[in-house]
Amino acid sequence: MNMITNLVHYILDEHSTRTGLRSQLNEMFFSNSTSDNSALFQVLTQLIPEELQQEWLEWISDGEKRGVPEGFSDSLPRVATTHLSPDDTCAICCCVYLEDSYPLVVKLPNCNHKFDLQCITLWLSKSSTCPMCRNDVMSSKTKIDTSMVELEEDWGMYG
Amino acid sequence: MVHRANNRASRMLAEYKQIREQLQSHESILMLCPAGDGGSLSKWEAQFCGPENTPYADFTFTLSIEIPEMYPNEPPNCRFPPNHICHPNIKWSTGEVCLDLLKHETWSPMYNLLQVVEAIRTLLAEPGVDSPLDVDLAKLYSVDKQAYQGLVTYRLCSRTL
Repeated sequence: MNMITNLVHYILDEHSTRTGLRSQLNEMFFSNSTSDNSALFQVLTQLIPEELQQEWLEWISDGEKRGVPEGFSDSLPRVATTHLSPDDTCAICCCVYLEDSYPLVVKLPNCNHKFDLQCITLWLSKSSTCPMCRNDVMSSKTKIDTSMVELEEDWGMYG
Repeated sequence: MVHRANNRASRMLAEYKQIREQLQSHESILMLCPAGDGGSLSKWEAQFCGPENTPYADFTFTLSIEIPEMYPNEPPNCRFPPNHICHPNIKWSTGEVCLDLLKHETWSPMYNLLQVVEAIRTLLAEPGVDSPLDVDLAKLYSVDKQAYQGLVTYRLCSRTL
């Protein structure tokens, strides 16, 4: 409910802009996307511009076709080069991992199938299953810790 | 988006080498090679014999394969020439193929061109009558196999080569 209070304040503020309001509404909708949004949707329907409603409805109906959440691929466990054999190949691009001097190889939860990070990221943006065994990579319910991902990127700058 | 193109390019090169090595062991596939200018490896052509013990057995079929920008994350586009093949899951007038493997929902980047051609060849022997493109032919296949075989043979004999 805190968000709604914020929203009301924002609407009453004379410095508010339409774009600002739009982004505020969007933030509410998406930050809440795990729970049932239909109640919120109904309350706000009267206030929301029609094309924005359309956008949200499309987002809901697209849900099943979507891949994994952003940051998921980056949070996958890395496979150390010492654990790769000389003929291990990424099944998506058909390249030998060790031909790259700094290969970024990750393994999927549960099935442990290995792929180039770059290749699997692209695949998982459209699908949430392992290309080899169709295991649902989201089924493990591992909590994604995106804060660690950002931390690692920061280290990269100095390392 | 450079990495996307790279992904496809390295994959196509690897497949090209693999196909050259493995094609001999696929006796029924007479040809599978880049078409047109060939340099881009984005258009391919396959030729294969119809499967044994089917009305397709004595005929040769040509298939054109187009590799989309997002391959192998997206399936290749396969089609026969128009008026080339008579089959419940293939549209005679356009050569369009209806096969689960080639749909976005069921495709996996694990499949390669050789497997795709083999799968289409298998489709000739085992039509999927639940989702036909040619409803009448699918019906004929399920009620009267002999009539079906006769019609397929007639159509194939009448095609202009």
